[in-house]
Amino acid sequence: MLASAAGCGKRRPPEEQPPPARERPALGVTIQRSETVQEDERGRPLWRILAERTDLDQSAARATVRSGEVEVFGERGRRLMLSFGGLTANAETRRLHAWGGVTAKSDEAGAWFRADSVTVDLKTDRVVAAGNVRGSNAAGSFQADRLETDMNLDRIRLTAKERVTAVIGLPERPQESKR
Amino acid sequence: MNTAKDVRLGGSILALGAMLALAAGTVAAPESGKSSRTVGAVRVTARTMDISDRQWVLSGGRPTAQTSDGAFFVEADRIVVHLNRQAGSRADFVSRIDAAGNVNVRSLTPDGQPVRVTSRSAVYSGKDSTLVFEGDVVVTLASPDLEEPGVMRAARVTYYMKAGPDETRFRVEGQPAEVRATPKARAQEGAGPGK
Repeated sequence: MLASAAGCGKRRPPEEQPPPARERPALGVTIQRSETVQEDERGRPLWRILAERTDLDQSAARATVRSGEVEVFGERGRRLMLSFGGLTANAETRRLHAWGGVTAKSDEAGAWFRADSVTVDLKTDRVVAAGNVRGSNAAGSFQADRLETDMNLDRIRLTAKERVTAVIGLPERPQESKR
Repeated sequence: MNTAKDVRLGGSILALGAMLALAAGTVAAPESGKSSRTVGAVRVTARTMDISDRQWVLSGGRPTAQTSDGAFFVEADRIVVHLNRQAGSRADFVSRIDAAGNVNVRSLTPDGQPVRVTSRSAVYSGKDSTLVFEGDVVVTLASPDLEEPGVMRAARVTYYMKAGPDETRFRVEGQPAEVRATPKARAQEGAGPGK
């Protein structure tokens, strides 16, 4: 009876079913103190990660990184350096998400900022920082809830639920804030 | 005895005793200001700021801009701070500030008297240290020489911030322009030391 019930319909045997659509588990490979360069299909570098610890997923397309730095390469040669507590780097989506006291710095733009988290989307050339954003560029220093810009940091939008505060004319440098 | 002066002129410039040194319509910006009033560093607030190489655009939540020395404060619906990236000094870095919509400015004259101005728009020019107000301008200026703060109403008022310490210079334009001030009575000869 069971056999006939199982035989009716067009169900495949359980062993032939495709795997459920869920995140691929990590390889279980942990790399200590590594340097990883991710390139696109043309061999152009997307980012270079220097990390204390890196966990790779099955295809190695996605890396979860603890305590490190990543140098992100923009289309027009601009580079953005992020230091972070944690980072997810996804080569398929070309997206980086950093958290845990993130500092972003661009020497070319003469700008830096800190935030609780920073997301870099290389497909859309968009950088979004959120939470306790604080930083400066060549024109001044600022504090906000959220920062949106591109890899060049040429145009920056700052927003806050209450108020963005800034000082124009006296740029603040990271080393000055340490005291 | 106190004397109240209500002055109305169809057109241009009025004098308010010794306190407001208002000259005729030909008044020019002081060529050599004894006290520089360039704004230097500017503290700004707003709900949204759009920053580029040349300007900071402030909008939302009634943006404000204030000089670091507190001598100049502006609040408006929208403020644009223009930068001079070729400036030789930090004092010249902010080249111009445009304020639009329900503008409210508080400033101090070189001798420390408070000035309040409301208007539809205002433009600060760093090059000649002027503030130009346009649209329903109301200037309120306090002075120890006046019984109460003097009030000017006009379509356009230019405030020369770089004027010397003994003079505050305004250029008032528009029809009609109105200036109202009540000078304090001079102490009577032989009278005891009064206030």
